[in-house]
Amino acid sequence: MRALRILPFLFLLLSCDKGLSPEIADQKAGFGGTVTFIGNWNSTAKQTYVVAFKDPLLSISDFSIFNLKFVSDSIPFGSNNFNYSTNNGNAVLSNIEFGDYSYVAVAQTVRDTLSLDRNDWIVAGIYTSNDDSTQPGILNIPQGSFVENVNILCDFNNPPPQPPSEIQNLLKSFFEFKKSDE
Amino acid sequence: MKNFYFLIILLVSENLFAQFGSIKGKVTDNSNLPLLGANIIIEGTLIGVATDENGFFNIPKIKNGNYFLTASIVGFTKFKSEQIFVNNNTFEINIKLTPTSYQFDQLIISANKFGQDLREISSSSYILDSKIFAEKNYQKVDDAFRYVPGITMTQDQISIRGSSGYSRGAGTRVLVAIDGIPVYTPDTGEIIWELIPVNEIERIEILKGSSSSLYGSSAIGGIINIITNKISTNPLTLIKLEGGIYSSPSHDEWKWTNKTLSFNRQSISHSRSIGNLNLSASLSRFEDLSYRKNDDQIRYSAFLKADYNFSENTSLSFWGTGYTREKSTFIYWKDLQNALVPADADLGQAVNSDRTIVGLKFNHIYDENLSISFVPSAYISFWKDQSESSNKSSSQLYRNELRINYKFSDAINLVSGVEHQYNKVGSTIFGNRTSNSFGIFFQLDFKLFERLNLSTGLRYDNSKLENLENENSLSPKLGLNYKIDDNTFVRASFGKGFRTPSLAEAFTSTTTSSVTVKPNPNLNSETSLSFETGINTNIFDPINLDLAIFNNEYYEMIEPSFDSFGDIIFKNLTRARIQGFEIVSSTKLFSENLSLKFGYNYLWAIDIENNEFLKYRPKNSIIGGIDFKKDFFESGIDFRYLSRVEKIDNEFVDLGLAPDGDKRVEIFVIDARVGVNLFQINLPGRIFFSISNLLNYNYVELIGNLAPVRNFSLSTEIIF
Repeated sequence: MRALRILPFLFLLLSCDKGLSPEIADQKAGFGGTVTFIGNWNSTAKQTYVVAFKDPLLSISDFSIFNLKFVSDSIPFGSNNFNYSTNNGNAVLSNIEFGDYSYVAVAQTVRDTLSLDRNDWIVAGIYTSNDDSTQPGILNIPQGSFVENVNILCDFNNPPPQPPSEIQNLLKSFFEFKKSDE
Repeated sequence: MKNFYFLIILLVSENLFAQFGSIKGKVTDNSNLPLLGANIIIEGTLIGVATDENGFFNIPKIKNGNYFLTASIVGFTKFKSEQIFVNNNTFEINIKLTPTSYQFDQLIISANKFGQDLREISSSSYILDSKIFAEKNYQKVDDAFRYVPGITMTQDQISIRGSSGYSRGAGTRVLVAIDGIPVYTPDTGEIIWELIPVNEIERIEILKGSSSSLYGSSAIGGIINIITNKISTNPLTLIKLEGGIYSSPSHDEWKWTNKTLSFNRQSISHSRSIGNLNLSASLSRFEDLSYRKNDDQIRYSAFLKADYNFSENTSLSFWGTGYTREKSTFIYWKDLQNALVPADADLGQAVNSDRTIVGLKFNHIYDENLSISFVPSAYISFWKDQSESSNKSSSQLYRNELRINYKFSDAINLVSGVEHQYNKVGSTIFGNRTSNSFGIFFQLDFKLFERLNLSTGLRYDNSKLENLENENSLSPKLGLNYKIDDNTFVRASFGKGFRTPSLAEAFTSTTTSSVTVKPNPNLNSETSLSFETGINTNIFDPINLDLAIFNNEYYEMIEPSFDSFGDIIFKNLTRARIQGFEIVSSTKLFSENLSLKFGYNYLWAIDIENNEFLKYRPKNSIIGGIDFKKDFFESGIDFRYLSRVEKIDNEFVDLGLAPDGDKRVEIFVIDARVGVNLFQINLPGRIFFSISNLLNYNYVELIGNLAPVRNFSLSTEIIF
């Protein structure tokens, strides 16, 4: 009978925990800012987006749909400035949670449709850290925070270093082979 | 084949010269009230009858000789008579059955396709009594499985001992049958639970572990056989009305309407005899506004069952069940902030479906040693959705089985048969496809030294899926059961299982809610090797305890996976190992007014190639239940706990298809009920009030799908 007396307490204890709750969801984690364009737009660019990758783009395999967490709505051709936000409902893909994002950039595609082939993309500008304005900076989003002023400069006359592509990989392998041959 | 006909002619001619008697009698309970539907069987033979509504039975035309008679019914101790001598006479016997504390004194027919004592079979089993559907106000048959040890439901997909994860309705690793006839859909190979009429269920037999040696493909993880009610020979009408409401969600953010969300069901059934024809029919209507937006449905169902006895030894039985349903489509929540609302793109989506299954069984008993059954069935299915692409699928499955039961002696029993199945599908997403499969099986059961039951079986299957290569499979089985004493039985079984892919797994080509599924015409069958050992004992009266340890090896397990483009494709991915153990216990106390049950299952389910846990398998699951009955008052509480699943389809979250889909918790649910069973005081009715998810605990079984919030229901049942 002692076990039966414990039951009401057990019920009380259990009713304290309701399982899943909306609070568990990240409070609008995200980021936003302004993209500024300098120079003449290349007419081969069909679509332009702000994109964010979770992990660094060290090889062609990192250019994966599973690593890609954000694709903004398309930036109108010829724009001088463009304001974006990951919480904008028009984004093509927005799956931002708190944590580090290793590569945030403005990318242009040479096709009319959104392609996941790395060779269809040209990077026009990257988010950089204050310490090094030539390399991709790591963007940190604290839990439940929206990080503002993630601004990106796109200078068409002075494009940033491009992430690895198939051609670059082939060249890299070739030179490494030659090097080891020597 | 000639030899076979010769054997039959020989047996029939032997019959002509035999002399016969009969056994008749009455079965009552402790209070001398007649027991309807008790199974009376001449032990060691295939001959048996059920008692009528007055408890009477009559077994005619029994060859002269010495026999033992057994009588059994759910909730009562099995009776075995003294030796009965039949010599051109009618032997009369009155049997009084006493209520039992345990479920093991029952017959199970699914294990080996003939009646056997539940404790004498070689694999783990469990029997669900139909009364739970009346008492707990379950709307679908699968609601009851959530409280069976070793079974987990991932939304509507069933898994026995971790056999399945979640494959979005494509394929099943548990063969579900109605009166022995499989009921998976012709196109997707899934189980549509709504098609099984809960009011027409007598009991449900559950066999855990591979049973491919008798049942072929899809029984790789186990079998669930739903036995329908016996038809009452006297005119009998049942009217059942149920209604319920959902609680408000426990968080204001989730409240999406100010309306009271409700569900209701009305059903009527009638059964009677007209000469040698016994008939039972029922109609029902179910409407559910649902606790989630765009998840409502309305369904009309019908069920018909008929038995016709051509003679004492020849009978024909038919059953058919079907429904027409319109159901809105809820695929994933919008996000955890909007857990009861679907993604905007899915609003307004719905699916209309019409499904029908019919089954026929022609049975002829030549004598107490030989019986032959011919069992044809058909499953006709049609559905169409209301998406822009207007997907639709029309499919048919035709199945024929010829089964022969032959008793060589009191100690040796043979079950054998051949089975053919043909599927045809015409669909916008599966294409125009056909599949053919053929199987032949034999099983010999030996009873040795009165204590040892030995079961050996072998099945050969050949299947051809559209233009894919022929697949051959050989499924052997070996099982042992040893009776140490009247209270303790040990068992062990080993078997090979296989499953051919469904047409949906091989040929689906569609995009729904931004998810693209690609066909894989190179898919092969998956196979398994299963081993289990267990013991069933009354450790001390009145506690019954069943322990089992199992190890299942899967080869080329078919699992949905994502390619580099984020599209789903079914692949022969996994070399998997599923190990674990199970503890099941039950008891009745205080003059059997209080019943307790408990079950614990531990699973270690590993993808060996990638050294990671298999998806949607909880490591620990616990079920418990307390029932209290006094006179006509009944009440009970059920409880279940499942640990947080280790692995899910994270790709759906990574791709942004199911925002917050990775948010999941352990599952902890309590259901409660209270009611009056007026049959106990000779009034023709029952009223039950039930609360599901009493604590309003929020959990998911599948990513982005919040399980039902707390709901209250009331059911009233009148029989006249």
